[in-house]
Amino acid sequence: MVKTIFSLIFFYFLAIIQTSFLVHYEIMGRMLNLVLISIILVNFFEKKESKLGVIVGAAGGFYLDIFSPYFPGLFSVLGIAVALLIRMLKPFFEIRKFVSFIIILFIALLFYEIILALTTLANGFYFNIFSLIYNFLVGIILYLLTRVFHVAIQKWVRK
Amino acid sequence: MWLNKKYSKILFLVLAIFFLFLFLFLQRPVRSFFYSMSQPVQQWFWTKGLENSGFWSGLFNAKDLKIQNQNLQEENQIFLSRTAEMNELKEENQRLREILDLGLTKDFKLLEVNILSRDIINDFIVINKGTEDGIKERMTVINYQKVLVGQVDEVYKNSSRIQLLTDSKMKFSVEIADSNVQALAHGQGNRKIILDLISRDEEVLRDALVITSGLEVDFPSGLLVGKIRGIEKTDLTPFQKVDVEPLFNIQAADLIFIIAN
Repeated sequence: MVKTIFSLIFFYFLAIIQTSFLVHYEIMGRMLNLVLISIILVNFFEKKESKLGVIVGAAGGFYLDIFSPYFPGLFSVLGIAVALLIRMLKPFFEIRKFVSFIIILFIALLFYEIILALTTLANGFYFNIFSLIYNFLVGIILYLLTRVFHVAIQKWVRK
Repeated sequence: MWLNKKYSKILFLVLAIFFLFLFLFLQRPVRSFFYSMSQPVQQWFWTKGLENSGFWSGLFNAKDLKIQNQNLQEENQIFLSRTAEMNELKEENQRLREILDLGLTKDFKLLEVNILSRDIINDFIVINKGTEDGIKERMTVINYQKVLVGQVDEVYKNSSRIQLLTDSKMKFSVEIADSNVQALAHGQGNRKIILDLISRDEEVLRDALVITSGLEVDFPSGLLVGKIRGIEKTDLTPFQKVDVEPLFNIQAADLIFIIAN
């Protein structure tokens, strides 16, 4: 319960930072999607029985819905879809392995970008490869940072 | 235990669907609540981001900055010579006004607003004033240099969402300054605008200024839109396509104005 409440507050502030601070640090017209990377990280490290990954997927998506002009619920559904996709992929990979994370991160980001491009097709097809690369590189950096502090963080997530 | 697990899954699903429908039908009040709550924090982060992003934009846009610098130096030379001519005209104008006792041209009633956030994909921003401050949908937004920024799209209690002129759903009539050429400006997303419906026979010059023509009720005439950067003519269509670089730069923007009258 405490973890869930903490996650809800954490993702709220993460969404604010993403839309108000990180917008000034775009590359090739694309901004860093910290909320999505955090959803992927939590779902990668969580235990099989835990529901926290899906909850943060929904919460992160909900906050992105609040701060975006798109159809309400779009990012909430996308967040949950990414969380469920990672849960489906995890049994095929060795967890705690760097290569496993890279593959899952890439698939999750690609899935997100393609679904987003398809759902916003009415405005033109906006699949941006730089968004994928930018988020992929930052995702790897955040994974490595997480592993440096992994003892404390993983014990907390897996409780 | 199995039943408990099953029921908890069903409960979770029902709750998720319930909250989704709640958000779907109550999106305005929900958004209004979150925007009101987040305003101070968003404003702080936006200001800090603006102050600290100079190094980042310099790092990734060095080539563009160099070209921009060269273009600005050339333009500066042209403007210096024009300033001298304009000063003479200004003095003459002032003398004539005094003689004829003419009034000033109409002014805008402007509401000063701050930017709080920007959408992660589209060309939308959120500002810190809403219905309580007299903001209404479709009001025009400009900056202090009378450059067109966009239009009010949705209004909440203490905040509003602005659709930038570069958004893909934005279309408005413009004209090329110092000529009679009228066109339709169409946002392309990602800070791009194109001009359409310009006859192939019309002469369009690079670096020409584009301004609003005032044909729509929403946008007053004479607001700066951008500069022409590229011209595409083919024999396949009767119209030429023109790329416009918007003069408004969201990356360097903090204070903007809403035209309230």
